Parts: sequence; structure tokens; C-alpha cells
Amino acid sequence: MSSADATMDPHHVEAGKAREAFRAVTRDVAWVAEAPRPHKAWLAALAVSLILFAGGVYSIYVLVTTGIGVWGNSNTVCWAWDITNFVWWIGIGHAGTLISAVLYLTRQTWRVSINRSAEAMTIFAVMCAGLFPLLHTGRPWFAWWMIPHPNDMQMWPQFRSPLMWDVFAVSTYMTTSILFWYMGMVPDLATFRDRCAAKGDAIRAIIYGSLSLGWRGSARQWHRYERAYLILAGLATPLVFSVHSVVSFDFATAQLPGWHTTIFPPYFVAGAIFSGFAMVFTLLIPARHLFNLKHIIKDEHVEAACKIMLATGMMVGLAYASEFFIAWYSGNLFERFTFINRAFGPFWWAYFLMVSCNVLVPQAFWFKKVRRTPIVIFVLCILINVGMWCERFVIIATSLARAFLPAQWSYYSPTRYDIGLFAGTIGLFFTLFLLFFRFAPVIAISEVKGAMPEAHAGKKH
Amino acid sequence: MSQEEELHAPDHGREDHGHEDHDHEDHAEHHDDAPLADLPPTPVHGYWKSLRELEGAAEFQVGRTGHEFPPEADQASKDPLSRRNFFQLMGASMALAGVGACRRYEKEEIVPLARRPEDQTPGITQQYATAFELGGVGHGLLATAFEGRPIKLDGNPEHPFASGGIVPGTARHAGASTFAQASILHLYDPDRSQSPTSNHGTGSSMEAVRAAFSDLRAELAKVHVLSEATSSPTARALRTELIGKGVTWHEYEPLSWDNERAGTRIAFGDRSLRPLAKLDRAETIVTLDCDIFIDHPAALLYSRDFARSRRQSGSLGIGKMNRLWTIESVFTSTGAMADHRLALRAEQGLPFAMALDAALAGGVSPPAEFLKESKVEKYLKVLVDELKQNKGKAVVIAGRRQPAEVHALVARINDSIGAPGNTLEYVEDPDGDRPAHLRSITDLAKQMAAGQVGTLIMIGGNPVYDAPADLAFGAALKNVKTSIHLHEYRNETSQLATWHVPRAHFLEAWGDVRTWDGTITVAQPLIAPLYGGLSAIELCSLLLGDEQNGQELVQTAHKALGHDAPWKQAVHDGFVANTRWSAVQPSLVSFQLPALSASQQGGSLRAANGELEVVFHPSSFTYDGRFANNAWLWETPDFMTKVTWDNYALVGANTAAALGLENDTIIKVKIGDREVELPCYTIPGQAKGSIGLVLGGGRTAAGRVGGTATRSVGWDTYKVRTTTGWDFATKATATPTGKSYTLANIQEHWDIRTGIGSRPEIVHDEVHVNAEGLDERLPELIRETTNKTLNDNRSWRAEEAEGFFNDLANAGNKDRPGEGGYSLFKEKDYQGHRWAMAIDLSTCTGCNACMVACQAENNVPVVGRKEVINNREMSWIRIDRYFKGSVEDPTVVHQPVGCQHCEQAPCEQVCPVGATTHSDEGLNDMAYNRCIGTRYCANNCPYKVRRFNFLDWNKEWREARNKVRRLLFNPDVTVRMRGVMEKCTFCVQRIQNAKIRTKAAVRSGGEPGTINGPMPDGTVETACQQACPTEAIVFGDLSDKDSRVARLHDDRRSYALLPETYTKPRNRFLARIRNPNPNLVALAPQQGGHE
Repeated sequence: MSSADATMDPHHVEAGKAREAFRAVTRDVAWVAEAPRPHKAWLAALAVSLILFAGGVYSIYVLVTTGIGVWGNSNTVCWAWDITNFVWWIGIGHAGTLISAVLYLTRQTWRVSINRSAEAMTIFAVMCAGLFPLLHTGRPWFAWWMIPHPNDMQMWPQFRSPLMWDVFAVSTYMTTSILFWYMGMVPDLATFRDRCAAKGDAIRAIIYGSLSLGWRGSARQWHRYERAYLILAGLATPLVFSVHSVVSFDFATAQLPGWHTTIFPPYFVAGAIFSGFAMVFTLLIPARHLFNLKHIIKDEHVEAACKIMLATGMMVGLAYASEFFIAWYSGNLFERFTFINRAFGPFWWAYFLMVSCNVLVPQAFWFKKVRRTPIVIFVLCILINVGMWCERFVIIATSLARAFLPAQWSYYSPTRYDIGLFAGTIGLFFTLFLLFFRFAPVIAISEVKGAMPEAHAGKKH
Repeated sequence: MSQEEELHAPDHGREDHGHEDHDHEDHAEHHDDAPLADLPPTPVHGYWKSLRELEGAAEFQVGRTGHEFPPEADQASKDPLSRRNFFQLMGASMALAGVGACRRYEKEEIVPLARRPEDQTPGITQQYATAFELGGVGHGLLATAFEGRPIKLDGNPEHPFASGGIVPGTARHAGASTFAQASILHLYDPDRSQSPTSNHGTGSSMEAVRAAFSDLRAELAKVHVLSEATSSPTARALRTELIGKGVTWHEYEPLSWDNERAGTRIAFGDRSLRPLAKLDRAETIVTLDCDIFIDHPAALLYSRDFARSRRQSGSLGIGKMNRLWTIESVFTSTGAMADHRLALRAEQGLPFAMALDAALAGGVSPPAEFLKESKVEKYLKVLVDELKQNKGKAVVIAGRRQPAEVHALVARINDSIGAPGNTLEYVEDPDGDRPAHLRSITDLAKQMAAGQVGTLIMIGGNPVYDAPADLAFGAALKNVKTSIHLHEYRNETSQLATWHVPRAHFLEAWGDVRTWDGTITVAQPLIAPLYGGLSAIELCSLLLGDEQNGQELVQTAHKALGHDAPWKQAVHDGFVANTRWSAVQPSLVSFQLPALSASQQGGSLRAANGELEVVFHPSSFTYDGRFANNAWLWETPDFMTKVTWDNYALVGANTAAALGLENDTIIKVKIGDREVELPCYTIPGQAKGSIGLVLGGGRTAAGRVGGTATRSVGWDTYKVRTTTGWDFATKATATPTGKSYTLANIQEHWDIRTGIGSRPEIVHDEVHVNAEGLDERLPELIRETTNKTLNDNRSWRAEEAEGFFNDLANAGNKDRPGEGGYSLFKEKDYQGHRWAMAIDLSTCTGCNACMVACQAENNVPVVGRKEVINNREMSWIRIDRYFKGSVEDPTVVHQPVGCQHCEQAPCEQVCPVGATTHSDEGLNDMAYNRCIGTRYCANNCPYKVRRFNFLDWNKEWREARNKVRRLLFNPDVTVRMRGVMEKCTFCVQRIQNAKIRTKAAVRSGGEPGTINGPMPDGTVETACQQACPTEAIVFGDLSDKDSRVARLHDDRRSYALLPETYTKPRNRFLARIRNPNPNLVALAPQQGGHE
């Protein structure tokens, strides 16, 4: 660019500055993928994740070859860590969809710094989540019977079962999330392609080139891209609410005290968003520090997310209180006992963790100082994730362990394979996330540019 | 008789249906042993199509030789290595390899049945009457065989002892004990000894055994025989013969009823008698340290008769029911049934009997100290008043542990309340003169120790393990030059004996037994001995030198007894009618009582160390240890403790608190200088200062299931059982060792001490129970009331007639048209059969017979101790046990829970693949091969009756050595694979079989009807129902308004479990009715139910 011209014309000056700023964004995002050697911290994290993942693969091997008996589940507590982990992972995915779709439709421009990684997180979380319903079946090799397909057995799934609804809800969610994520990435992949080509890295250029589906950045392509993005956002928005509602039906439609409650859909959705945001910032706070992205993922963005966590945390707290109230108000002795037992029974520790992490911990976000201190937020986010895991565990295991007939009451403790598989999915999640961070445009470059003040320079009046 | 015939045609079997006698001829004559080539040309089926065929043209021999083509066609391929010849050779060598492997075929060649035996249809089971003996007491059984292999044992419904209907409408019914039913598992146990051994374990052969016996025969006078108790007339005849030749005979049972005999000798002047109570006539039943439902030799009879007089419209008349008073130390199933239970130390049975005797028969009164105790005083007063009022309608029964004096006193008490002739009769003991078991083994051991026994033949039993510890039987056995042990297993005794001879299982041998009332019962084999082996009578015959087979021996004895019944009839029926001993009228003599010890005189509050009493209690798993290798029994939880796979010390909750003993810890029990360490189970209601030691664990040579030298199941409590403290011992101490041990308890998997407001020092405390929310839910789950309420308040119903939940439960009821259901889904309209069950909590004694029956019928797997701790037991029917009231004097209820077969089944709604669905007859069906194992159904089942195959429970049956075990599987029931859900099916295979039979009968001109048409009530019997000695379980068709189950469902005692879940269960419970004495309300259980 000719600097002489630029100094002459104020418009040019501004445009030049803008161009420089845009270029800076591209560079700052792309360097992560272009750096010849990965960051040492990245390598260390990947190694840890891969070890966890390997442990998970071994746990799966033992599980599939030996049977569900390697877990701690019993005839009384038929679901435990398996479904707890499923619901927890699905919940974590929610923030991604919320950030990409709902915040897009409501024109929350601060979302652009985090939406790409949040979407990636959604997909990876749903992948982890999907493992559990598959593997928790006694005969996972027949799990495909849950898919409606014409067959000579003349068998058809049983559509009254909420597990069937889960199949549809989760697979729809997965498909939409992948489409949304991938489509959003196409312009940025094209940017990567161009940069690799410019540097003469042919292999990467071919890979990124194929992934960018021939994107040239023409006005027509941009026009269609924006339309499609809007449509997908519109499609994804109801999913934010439907998926976890459907997952909550697994419990709400059962007659078990502690499961059988109408409050579950909104309660689960709020909890999902709550835990999803917590997970997004568990990932992004170290990442933006590590990859020097603080000027893109700004403190204001983190603060906005903290406010969302505060709000959803209180919704979850309200749900806890309502459950207790209804248990008392219903006059149903089984219902009443279930809730007393949750708080004071043998699983009191899980309940205690749940309430403190989900209701008390977010109260810290009332303070601006907390909302502006990344390390504190990071710790609180991890606590919220722990709390939300405990919430699912409390709902599932404590209700099952002490249902109607006292003669069948029991306790649940996990085995190494329960822990191994859960740790394995965490390993899988972080492995995928780290790979994504290293090789894909982790920030929506084009969208960030669109949201930058420079992009609206001409509109200043 | 050919080997083949023994295998396939036990004499005079009856078919599964009809039960008519097939007096078929011997099949052997139809079997041709000649080679095929020499056969006459007549077609084998006896019919012929043409004269040419009759003349035997070659091409018509096709059916005979099995050639697909005429022989000429085969000539074309005479090439020795043609494909056809190659396969022929291969096939033949494969078949021969198989033949070579079958030990039981070696004697004679096998010929296939040329004709189907008259009473056998492939795929259809046959039933044969046989018998089983436990501790010298016979039980008539009906064995079910499938294609020559026995697969199930049940009570013989025609046997005069303990059979016959209880619920009006049933005539044919017989219960069976857990031991009798589970004994079939031993038949196929690969751990059974398979060949004789000599010199402490060196392999030997039957020929060597025979040779050894012929040596012995020369000097029979020096031979001692130690036999387990037997009631067999054949054995008795052989014994007499042997004794005549100089053999010294000893008899020993570790769980003996000799105290009762000795008591009658005291009371009636040297007459050994056997009291037999007639509980169906008794309005007041008093049991003194006696478990009449489980532990008594007449338990099945007593259960049946008790149920008859317990029912409100039973043998005592409308509105009347018996009242059960139980005085006992260890909480037993009888105590759980009792209207008034008094927890009293076993040693105080004597002062208690004295008190009754003093009040009723004017005997010596026990010391005032004993009577002063408020609980005893009140109890005694009301009991005496009631006995006085109910003269001729009451009976007292004392248990095996009580000393002879107590039995003598009880005889006098019974006399004073007019029991003999009314509610009690005495029969002459068949072996009145034999020395008592304890005496007999003591004498023998002394002689052995002194080297006076040169040869000892032990018939059954395991004295090295279970003889009194102070006799040091094992050490004494080493002094015996030749010792021969006949047993099914190479057990502890066999290992020390110089010879071990395998014994045939009772289903492999001819025999006869007598039931407790004397009825002669014939035992016929159903299968040739799988591992060889002799029966006890065959061994005796061998010793006598005139080796006869079992059948000849039994038949000879039968003829010698001179009964009218023809042999065939006796074998077919399984018993000889009218052979019960006739009642005698003995007269009392006066007798002296021993002085009471300090602890007997009173001080039931004494629970300090050094003053404890130890009571030896039979095991519900292994009896006296003999069933130790029986996995079914080990995994069937004890009636009271609900523990599996262990024996333990039973300690009262308060005693435990006082002594610092805790549940699931190891304690040390010391009697004199002998001690044993074993886990402690704290149980409410155990008498203060009394510790129950359960026998029968800690075997070191039982087999892979029950214990080997390196790994035992349970703990050997015989170590502290001596001749002086055989029934119970005093002056014992119990101290904690600080070690903990988890008992595999199926009901209390959770840590009982972590509840709200619990006080760790006392488990099962009332405070704790409240905290668990049990006190408010139990009256909903277990409805009960009293006889008085039921009689006085005609509108009483177990389920509210009006009320929110009940409107729901009754919605859709045909009797209340116009009121639609509240279900989300369209409710089914049932046209045909509507299968249903009713379980009467009033007569369920918690005896576990149903659990074992279900296990045998439905191929229910065993999971082992570890998996029971993991709460993965697979039983399709379980018996829930709940305590109520105080820790000192709790009441107990048992509730058998299987699948409730809900019309609105919550499990069906949530299965994503439709693996569990509803049948048109109202059964909740389970399609195993459609199940993918999401386990959602189990989560949604309010009754938690679904059982998941967490692991491959049947894996071990694929091991070569265990393959024999697979012969036991019921072929009508799928063996489930891992990863699928299973549960009670209402024995759907029996329903389908009954329908097929009905349909077949209709086709062949029987009663008109259709497949869905009515069947006579009782055509279908579930396994649990069949085994229940009190007929507490009734199954049938609700569409038949007159069926027993339909009537019971309409009974006002009937209620559904958890009606508010609107599951509309097809199983309904009948509320438990208690019958407390109004004058003893303070001790009576609280009244539940809805009044």
C-alpha cells in the first residue's frame, strides 16, 4: 500500500488504518496455525490429553469385551456415571450454539471473538456425549436398532421412549452444529489457503483449499454466505432449547421420584447454558493468554459471559428451590423423601458440592473485580463445571439409589473403568480442541473484522 | 435291564399332564440288538404298504438302513476315498469319539430307541415320583425330567404328608423346601467325586473297593459303621442284618432331634415318642425355641397346617384364625410370623417351660427372679390365661436345641391343656432304642482314640468337619487302620479316610425313606449314575456279600414289610398309602428337674462378656454344611438377615452396642478355651446376651463353590461346638477384633450408619428408621391389620375404597363403567386370558422356597458374593423383609416381590427398541434378543424387579469340566446373554405349554374351547406357586370369575403395591392379618392398614 496516498486523504488514512487492523487480526489468528513449531504448553497439554484419551480407549475395550459389569452400576442404580457424563457433555455443548445462533440473531457483536471456539467446543462435547449412550447399552453392537430403518426383522423403534427422542434430538443437534461451524469457517479457511499458498506451503494450501470449497470472497458468495448463516442460525436457535429439553425428558417422563418433575426442561436448559459458558471460559482463558489473543477476546467479552453465568446460575438455584418446594407441597411422601435424602442422605456430599458450586460460587460474579480477574474466573468456571456434573449425578444416582421400595435401596460408587472412560472423554475433548486450535481458524476472522469499529468507519456521521 | 432302559425309562412315569398311570410293558423287548444286516425284512413300524414291501425287497429297506438311495446306487462309489465314504468315516469316528467320552455308557452298547417309548414325546417333560432325605427325614418329591435328564424337583402333590390344598379350590398342592429343590444342583455338580480313592487320595477302582469289602466280610464283628441318620426301611433291614453279624452301628447327625426323644422318655417312662402337632386344629400355637416353618422335620406339614388355620376362612371357621406365640433366642421365620414373640435366651427355655408347667400342670415354679422380669411376667400371664381358655385347642412345640427336660415339661404342659388327641398326637419312634446321636459319636470317637476300632465304614456324613470339636474326630480317625467313607464329595472326612467311595446322588439310585409321620416313600432314580457311585444300601449289601442292586434291595424290603400296595403302584405314586405310624396314647410319669444355673434363673439383662450364651443355629444355605457346594443355596438370602454367601454371628443390636461389636466387623467368640473369629451381623430381636452362631460355613473340602483348602466360604463354627455345649453353650465371650468384613447383604447395601440423625452405636434404631422415611412408607407398602378389626369392621379394606389414588386404580375397571383411565396412552381391552397373581402376606413365612423354585425353573444365574455386594443378584422373585417397632421387640414382615405385570407398565413405555412389550393376556413380555440393554426399563420400574445381565453370568458353563451342569437347564427357558434385561415372566413357558396342551386336547376331542378359551383353574401353576408350602402365592386367570386368583383379587384384603403410580399391577397382595391377644396389646405390633 502506498503510504503517500494514504496520508493525503483522510478517508484513505482511515481505510489504510483499517486495512492494517484487519490484517493484524488475520495475522494474529493465523500465526497459531502457521507457527512452524507448536507452543511447548500446547505440546504438553496435547500429551496429557492423549494419555487420558488412551486410558479412555482402554476402558472402552474392557467395557465392550467384558460387559457393563465393569462399571459400578447395579440393578438399583442402573444409570450412574454413564448418563451423568452424557448429560453433562451435552450441556456443555449448549453454550456454543447459544453463542453462535442466539447471540447472532440478537446481534450481540461481542460473540464473534468466541463463537468459533464455542462452536468447536459444542461439536467436540457432543461427540464425547454421544459415546455414553452408545457405550452404556448392554449390547452396543446392536445400538443401531434405535435408528428407524426398514429391515427384514419388521422391527421398528418404540417412539414412546424418550431415549428415541434423544436419538433424534442429539443427532439433529450434532448435524446442525457441524454444518454451522463448518460453514462459518469457510471464508477463514480460504484465508488460510491463500496465506499458505503465498508462502509456498502447497500441501496445506491443498488441504485448506479443499476445505474452503472454492471460496473466492466475491460479493455474491458473501451474500449467499450471510443468508445461509442466518438460516442456519435460525435453525440452530430452537435447538438450544430443544436438545436439553428432550434430554431432560429422559428423566421427566419417568415415574421415579426425583425424576418425575415438569420443571426439568427449563431447568436443564438453564443448567446447560450455565455449564456451557463455564466450559467455554475454562478453555478460552488459558488459550487467549497462551496465544496472545487478549485484544480479540477482550475483557468485556469475558465480563459479559460472567453475567450470563450469574443469571443462569441463579435460574438453576431457583430450580433447586422450586424442586424442594414442590416436593413438600405435593404431599407425596416418596417425592418428599427423595429430596430430603438428596440433601441429607448418603449422597449429601454430591448435593453439597452441587449447591455450593452452582448457586454460591456464581454469586462472586456480582463483583466487577471478579469479572475482570481472569484467573479467578477460570477457577470459578472449573468449580461450576464440577457443580454441574454433580447436579446430574445427584439427579440420576441419588434418585435411583433410594426409590420406592426400601428393600432395594443401594449405594453407588464408581470403578476405575467409570473414571477411566470419563477421563478418556475429557482427553478426547481436549485433544480435539487442541488440534482445532492448532490447525483451524480458532477465531472467526471475517466476523471479527465485521464487528471491528474500523469496519464501520464510513458510517460515522 | 439294559443300560439304555435305565436311562430312558424309569419305571412307571407319569406324563406332564393327566397323571394317569401308564402301565406300559417293558420296552426292552422291542429293541433289537442284532446288527442291521441280519434284521428280518418286516418294516420296523409294523405297517406295510404293499406285499412286496412285506416280502422285503431291497429297495424297501431304505427306511431301515437309512440310505437315501437304494443300495445299488451306493455300489457305484466303492472307492474307499470317495467323498461319501470319507464323510461316513469322519462321522463315525466323531460319533465314536463321543461314545468313548461318556463314562456312563461303557457297560453296555447303546442302541437308539427303535420306537418311541409310550410315555415319552420328544420335547415334553415327564414327571416321576421320588424322594429325598435330609437328616434322616424323608420328603416326597416329584422330579421333572426332560429327555432323560432330571431338571427340577418339586413336592409330590399326592403324597399324604404335607400335601393337599390350602386355598379353597386346590386339591393338589405340595410345597418343597429350599434344600430339597436345590439338591438337584448336586446331581450335575462337576465337583462330585467321580471314582473311588484309596490310601488318602490315590486313584482306585470299584473292583478294588469290592476286593477290600470281601476282605472285611471275613471279620464283620470288628467293623464299626458310622452312618448318617436314615429313615429308610431298606437300610433298616440291612442294618439289622449287619448288626446280627456283629457289626457295631453308630449314627450321627450334627442337627439332631434326639432331645425330643429323650424328653418323651423322661415324661412317659422310657418310651421314645415323636410328637406330631396338628396345627390346622390349633387356635393357640406356642413354639419354644423352635422354627416350625424351616427347621422342623415336619416343617412342610406344619407350614401347610398353620396356613390352614391361619386363614380367616380356613380350618378354624369363618373369622377365626390361630394365634402364634413364639419364645426364641435367634430371630427365625416362626418369630417373624408370631403374633407375640418373646426374645429369650435359649438356656431360659427351661425356666419358661417350668413357669408354664407350674401354672398349668402344677409343677415346680421357676425362681421368682425369672418371673419378675416385666416382659416375661406379662407375657406368661396372658399366655397361661389363653392356654387355659383354649383347652383342647392349643399346642406347645419345643425345638431341637432345648434340653430333654424342656421337652418333658412340654409334654406335661400339652397334656394339661388337652392337646393329645386334639391338636397333638404321639407316634412311636421307629428307632427308640438307638443311642442318641451325640452319645453315639462320643462313644465311637473314644473307642477310635483308644485304638479299639480297626475298621470304620462311614456312610455319608462329614464327622471330621461336624463332630463335636472336643472329640477330635479327625485325629481319632488316624488311629483307625481301615476307614471307608461313602460320600458324594471327597470331603474333609474322605481326605482323612483310607478309602473314599463315591456315592450316587438320590436321583441316580433306588431307595426308600419315611417322612416324619412314617409314610413310606419310594425313591426311584431318574438317570444312571453320572459318575458311577453306590448308594448307601448298595454299600451295605456289598458288605453283606450278597451284592444286589438298589432296586432289588428296595423291592425286597418293600415286600418284607408286607404292605398291600403293589410295588408298581408304590413306585408310581412315590409312597405307600396308609403307612403312617399310628398314634399312641402314652401316660405321663413324674420326673425330677435339674437345678437351674444362675443365668437361667434370671438376669436376662446379663449381657456382659463371660456370661453370654452361644446358640448353634442351622444354616439356611448349607443346612449343617452338607450343601456347601450349592451355589443356588448360598445365593438365596437368609430369611431374616438377607445375607448371602457367608455364615456369621447373630448379635442383638443392643447386645452389640453394649459389647462394642459392630455390623460387618469380625468378632472373636470364645467358649471355654475354644474360639472362632467370624463376622458379626447385628439383628434386632435377638435375645439379649445371646449370640447365634450359624453352622455350615468354612468348609475346606466342599468343592469349588463351597470351599477348598485355600479358599473357604463362611467360617467354621463347629470349632467351638463341643459335646458339653452342643445345642447352646454358656459362659461365652465375644470381643471385637478390629477387622472389618463386608457381608453380602442383599437388602442393606448402603451404609446403615450414614442416615440422618443416626446414632452410630445402634443400628436399626427407631430414630434411624424414622430418618430413612421408612415409618411413613411401610404402612403403604405392607398393609396389615388385626383379625379383630377385620371381624368388627366389615367395611375395612386394605385399599381405600374412595380416595385419590384409588379412583385412579379403579378407573377403567369394568365394574365402574364410564370412568375412563387417566393414562396418557390408550388402555388395552383384554379379551382372552388375563393372567394374574395374588400373594398372601398373612401366610408367607419367608421360607425362600419360591426363590429356589424360580431359580431352577427359569435358569436364573448365580452371580457370586462379590456381585451380590455390587447389588447385581439376579433372582426374579425376591422376598423383601422389613422390621418394625423397637430394636428389642421388632416385628417382621416378608413381602415376596416379582414382576408385578403392570397393565400400564412403565418399563414398556421407555424401551427405545420395544424389547419389552405387553401380551394380549396381560403379561409383560421380555424379548431378550431384541434388548440392547439401555436399562431404562429398570430405572422406570417402581418395584425394581428387573435384573440386568451386567456380565456374562453363564460363562463358566462353557468350560469343559462344567458342561455337565448345562444338562440342568430348563430347555423351555432361554439362557440369557450378557447385556440384556430379564425379569419374572409369570412362568410364560408354563402358560404356553398349558395352552398347547389344552388346544391339543380340544383337537383330539376333549372339552370344547379355543386356544384363548377358559382353562380349568389351576391348569397353569407358576414355579413359585408350586413350591410355596403355604400356598401364599396363587396364580390364575382373572377372566375366569370363579378362579381362586379372581376371588382373591376381589378380597377386601387385596391391594396393589404403589397404586399411585397407576401401573395397575396384575399381582396383588393380600394384607397381612395379625391376631394379637387383646390383653397383651402393649406387646402387640402396631396396627397398620386403613381402618
